[in-house]
Amino acid sequence: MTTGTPWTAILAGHGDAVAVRDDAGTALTYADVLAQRARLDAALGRRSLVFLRTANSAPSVATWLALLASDHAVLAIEHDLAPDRRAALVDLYRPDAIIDPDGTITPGPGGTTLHPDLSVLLSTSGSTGSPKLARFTAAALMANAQAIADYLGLTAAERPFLALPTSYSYGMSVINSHALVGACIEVTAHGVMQAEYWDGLRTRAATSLSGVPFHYDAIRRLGLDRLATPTLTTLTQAGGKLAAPVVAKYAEWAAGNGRRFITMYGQTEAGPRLTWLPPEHLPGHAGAIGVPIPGVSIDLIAGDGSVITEPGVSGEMRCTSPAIMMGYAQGPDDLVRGDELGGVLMTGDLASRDEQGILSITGRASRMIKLFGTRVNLDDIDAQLARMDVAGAAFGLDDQLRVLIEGGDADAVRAALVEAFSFPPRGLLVKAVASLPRASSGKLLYGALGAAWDQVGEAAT
Amino acid sequence: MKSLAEVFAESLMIDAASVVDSLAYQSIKEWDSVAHMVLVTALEDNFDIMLDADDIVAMSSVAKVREILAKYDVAA
Repeated sequence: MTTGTPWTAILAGHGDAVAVRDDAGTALTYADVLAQRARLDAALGRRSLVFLRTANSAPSVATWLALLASDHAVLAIEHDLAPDRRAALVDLYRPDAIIDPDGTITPGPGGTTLHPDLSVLLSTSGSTGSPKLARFTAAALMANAQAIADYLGLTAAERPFLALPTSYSYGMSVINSHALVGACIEVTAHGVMQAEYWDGLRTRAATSLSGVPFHYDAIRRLGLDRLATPTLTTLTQAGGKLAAPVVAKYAEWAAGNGRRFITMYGQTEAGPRLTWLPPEHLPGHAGAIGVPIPGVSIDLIAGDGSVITEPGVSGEMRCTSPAIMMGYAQGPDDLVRGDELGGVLMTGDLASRDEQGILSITGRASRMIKLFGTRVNLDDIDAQLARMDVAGAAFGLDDQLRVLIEGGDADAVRAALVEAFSFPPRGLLVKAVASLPRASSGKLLYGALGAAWDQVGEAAT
Repeated sequence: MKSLAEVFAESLMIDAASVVDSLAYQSIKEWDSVAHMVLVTALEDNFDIMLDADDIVAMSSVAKVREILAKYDVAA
């Protein structure tokens, strides 16, 4: 019960340094993290599967780190995930315990057998409570954290201001990479549109902030000068494509104010970071995803399976990394499986390289959209519609999730979907049509949903 | 020109009846940072004003929004 993971000795080595501080001023040290690990071990008794309901508070982040350094396997879920979605995950995966953000432990049904290497489970679409999980070893997540710490040049003096959820792979990677170097994570439950966020950024002497494209659009509206605190040096962006003109604006501001603006790309399945755009490449490459991070290599694969070598030609990204997941889990039987990918991931995203070797995304897998930085698997929405006994289908584009239903009350269906999921509600639109486009076989024609959508008047939304 | 309640209802995609003075940012799922940005644009368009950034981040409730709009000579 005390063997631990590659994280255990690293975190123990940071001793009495503060690991995390929250809005209430609660500060917990790395020694507190290890004490929390011992407390969890005593309460759980043996290697367990636990669900951690994460919040942006010091106890929640400390418990996350304690679990990372423990022999237990953890699934991080958002604390505000709808109770019925949470219950569905508990019924499916049968965790031994559910831990609240404040550390309260509730026994679960238990009985799931775990592979010895399994340490962390991440939802492929946290906001929908998707039952499809990515399985990771502790060593894989450490390799990614180490690579991030290397290319960002992180030290124990960093104080990242973190508003992203721990259950979101980007938020998790900010925590892990900074914990690795013994920095103090300044976690906040406030968002960029709140005065408390900006007060905290300044008074807590944050050195960096991390955001998805929406956050950078919002900050732009508020004025970039707000970022000119005496201590803020680094802005990182991931979680989707930020429009090139906006990237250029931030790049210009950063260069003129002695700060760093760094755009990055990753996938939950890759643990998550895959590429970054070094600031020196930013001029002329706004909107590009950059170069592979240390330890990662990326090949572009043509339709015939060959590796593309010439610049400007798109192919699917095949990523080789020590942080690639062991594989997916669709149910408890999958948690006993070992590594199935061998460190290689086909991302489903299309990219091309320019003459300088800088990568840009050119297309992507079709049943996945980004809703203000939150990945939404459209299959999850379709499954929820089926549970609600509503004939309908989801499609959409970035920042707009569209649901077309066959007859019925669009407003009521929209309200029910908002209740069921935790993605930003404003991104969800529902329209009703007399009949969905179908092939003669009765099969839904996903490609025709857009045209059917456009034929419904705005008044019907 | 729409009423303040109408602007709120359309921006947050909620029922106008639920737009009461005590309604606060993050007290309902529908009033998150994404909706707040939509609300800001809608307020500016509807009342023909340009909101200061400090006011945007201070709009923590319907009552507070009304109070802030008064500074722009908008009686809402």
